[in-house]
This record gives sequence, C-alpha cells and structure tokens, in this order.
Amino acid sequence: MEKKVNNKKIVKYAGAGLLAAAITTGVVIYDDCIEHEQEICPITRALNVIPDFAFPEMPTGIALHQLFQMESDLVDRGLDNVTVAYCPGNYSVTTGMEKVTVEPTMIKNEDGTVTYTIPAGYILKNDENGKLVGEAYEPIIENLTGLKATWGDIGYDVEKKDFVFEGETFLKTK
Amino acid sequence: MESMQFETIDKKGNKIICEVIATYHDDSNKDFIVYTDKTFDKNKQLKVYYSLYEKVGNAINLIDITDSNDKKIGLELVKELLSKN
Repeated sequence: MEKKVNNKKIVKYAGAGLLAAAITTGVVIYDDCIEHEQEICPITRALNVIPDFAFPEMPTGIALHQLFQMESDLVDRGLDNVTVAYCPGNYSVTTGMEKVTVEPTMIKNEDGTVTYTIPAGYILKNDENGKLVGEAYEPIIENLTGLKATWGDIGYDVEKKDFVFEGETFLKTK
Repeated sequence: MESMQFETIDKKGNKIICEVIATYHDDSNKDFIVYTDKTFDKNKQLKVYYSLYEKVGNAINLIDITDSNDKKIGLELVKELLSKN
C-alpha cells in the first residue's frame, strides 16, 4: 500500500515527549474526537511483541485490529460478502484456476487408424498453433498461514497486504 | 519543542485540556492532529487521540473523521510517531 504520510510534514510538539515516555508502559489509540471514545486496540504490542500465531481461538489486540482493518479495506474496494478469518497453522485454499495442457498419446491401430488418448478430465482440441493437445483447468492451490480474507467462494491470502500498521512481524507465523 | 494545548469537552461535559503531540497537513489540504488528554485507561496506558482539526484564531476545533482514507492517514500518522520513539 502506498505510504500516505510524508514524515517531513509532521510537526511535533512538546506532547511528543509524553508519548515517548508512555511507550514502554503502553499507549491506547482512539480515533475521532474525544467525545466519541472508541477504543481500537493497544498499539504498543505492535512495537514490542511479535504475536505468536499459536494462539487462542480468537486473536486480540493488534491481530484483531488487523482483521477489522482487512475487512474494511476489502469492503472499501467494493468487494461483497467479505469475511475475514484467523487461521492458525497451515491450510490450503483454492485461489484460482489455470489451464494445463498435455500431449496426447498416439496409438496406431492395426487397421491404419490413429487413436489419441488423453487423461481423464481433459478435452482433446487444437491449440492456437493447430496442434492437437489435451486441455483442462486445474485449481491453483496455495498453502497459507495466518490471516485470511475471503469473498465469494475463493479464499485469498492477504499476508503480503500492506496494513496501516505495517509490519511483517504482525504476520509472522509460528 | 513548542508546547501546544487546547481545550475541549469530554462526554460528561467537563472541560479538559489536551496536549498536542503532533500535527500534519495532508496533500489534500486536510489537517490532522494527534493529542492526548494526559489520562490513562484501566491498563495504565496513555490515551492518545487523532482527529482532523481546524485552527480558528488560537483555538483548535476538532473535526470528526468520516472518510476511511482519512482514517488510514490518521492511523499511519500515529504509527509514524510511535515508531520514531
């Protein structure tokens, strides 16, 4: 994700000293005006602790925040039926389909005819060069860990997605 | 560093003085502010807020963030401030 903040345009004030002093003990971030307090999560975990993904059923803190952010980002992109899930450990998901081709086996029959054989599930056809091939579509399987977002019937690994709180450490797997 | 404070009203209608941590003027001509009311939550963590704002004379008026992109900018701003500490 493109960086949205230009560091050179940040103007710090004396309050930054309070922030620096509080980091070791903890900082909690609220958005919106102070009249609309809505806790997001403890941000300091992002600084000091690498979440071990061998966790409890539901992630908390920064991981939960990331799930919410993931869902928000995907919805903002116009995707319907977005769900996010936390999946500890390895799992497989179909992320698409790809065309595969095989060369048919040619058998010359006694009567002079030729029989072409192809594996089950393939279709015998001429490719773009006029060559006879067996063609099929097979699923693309990916082994994923960590956070997962899905929409429709296809699951996607958004492990490389760039979150607001960017940090590969958040996505570290066990 | 210069000290900047402003007065606002909490949910209970009490006047509170907030300490500005940083401001940021975005390319889209929006002004972001990160501040603290210098209070702590039940886990003894400093409460830090981010918002849009406008300066009217010497006063700072906070403006609700309603745009998701603005929210992302605000969060990234906070992240930058935390990471630099």
